[in-house]
Amino acid sequence: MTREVSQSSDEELVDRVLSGERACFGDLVDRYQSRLVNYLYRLLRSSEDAHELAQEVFLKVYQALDRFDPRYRFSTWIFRVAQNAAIDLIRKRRVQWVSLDRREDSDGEVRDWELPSPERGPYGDLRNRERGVALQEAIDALPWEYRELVVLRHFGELSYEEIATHKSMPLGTVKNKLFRGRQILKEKLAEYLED
Amino acid sequence: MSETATPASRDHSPFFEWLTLEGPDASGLAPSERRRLEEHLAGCAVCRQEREHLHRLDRLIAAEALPVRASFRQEILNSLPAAGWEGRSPRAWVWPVAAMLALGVAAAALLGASSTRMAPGASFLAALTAIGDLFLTGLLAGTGLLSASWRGLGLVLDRALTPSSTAAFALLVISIDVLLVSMVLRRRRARASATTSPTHDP
Repeated sequence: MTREVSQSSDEELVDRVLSGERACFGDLVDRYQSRLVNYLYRLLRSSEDAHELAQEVFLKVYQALDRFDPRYRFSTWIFRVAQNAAIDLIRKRRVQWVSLDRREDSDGEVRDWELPSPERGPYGDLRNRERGVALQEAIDALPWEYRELVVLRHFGELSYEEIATHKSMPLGTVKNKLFRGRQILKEKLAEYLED
Repeated sequence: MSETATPASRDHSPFFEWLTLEGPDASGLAPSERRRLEEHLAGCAVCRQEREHLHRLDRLIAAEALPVRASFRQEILNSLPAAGWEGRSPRAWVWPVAAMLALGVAAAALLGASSTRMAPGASFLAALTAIGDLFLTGLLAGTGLLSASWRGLGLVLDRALTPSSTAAFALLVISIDVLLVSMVLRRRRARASATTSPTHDP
């Protein structure tokens, strides 16, 4: 049974949940929990919020599972739900960063959203805080068009094709932006990458 | 590209791109591309350093991953809501249908046993007749009740409503109908737009 599940595609698992095998939803949770929590953590800066919102996303997805179109990928669907849920939460809390799109000021100039400071909690104490803060700052310093894709790729662990579908972008554009984003990240973190 | 050229004059960009996009191990490259990359790396210190930096960047990102709390999965499974689609699942009907069949069989057996005592040899026919009578009686009773209630409602309305209030009542009924039809149409449109979008949100 476990072996069958591990070999099943996401879409097959969805099908099995819909036909009454509720336990298969646990396998989907296993597959996506770390990716979703980490993706949301990079957007919300709070492990508590990331966990809570990821749970909400799973419950929302479960309730709407019959509306999932198996012609598309489950991964892009669940990350779309997560992205929208994160935007809603940020808006509700009136955090300055209110959209996953870049904003334009009155002069029409594109600016990045300002983000709250990275969380300083028990998780931070367990890790190398300085390095963690440096990574978050480097991510925050990325232009939004790169940052969003870097977070989807490295924390959401989506493939280039999945990101292209998720963002409705040509595959080449996704790769180009990720190449530039990763190069910038590498430059910002140079002191941690040297011998 | 010449491998004997000085590092500054070399074009590293295609190799940087491969290393950055396909990972430091270049696992996503085709065999021929990977061979070309390995040949280049063997003679290029700049690209070897780039690969090492990308390795370290990946390790740094991995080290900063937030661990998911241990109870996360169970908390979700414990709080799964009753979704509307569950009632439409064929499995949801298995137990009710099985229970109905079991009750029907039990009823048939009971009636059959009692009819055997009364008229041995005609038990099966008697049981079928009795079950048929039961359903017929239920149907007639239901129809009678429905008819009586509608008739009663008609009488009440006939006495209570004046021509003007009848017109108001008719308008109310029409407006409710219009509201219902518009809700059904809106729901259909929403469903159609949700199924045509690859990234629809529940």
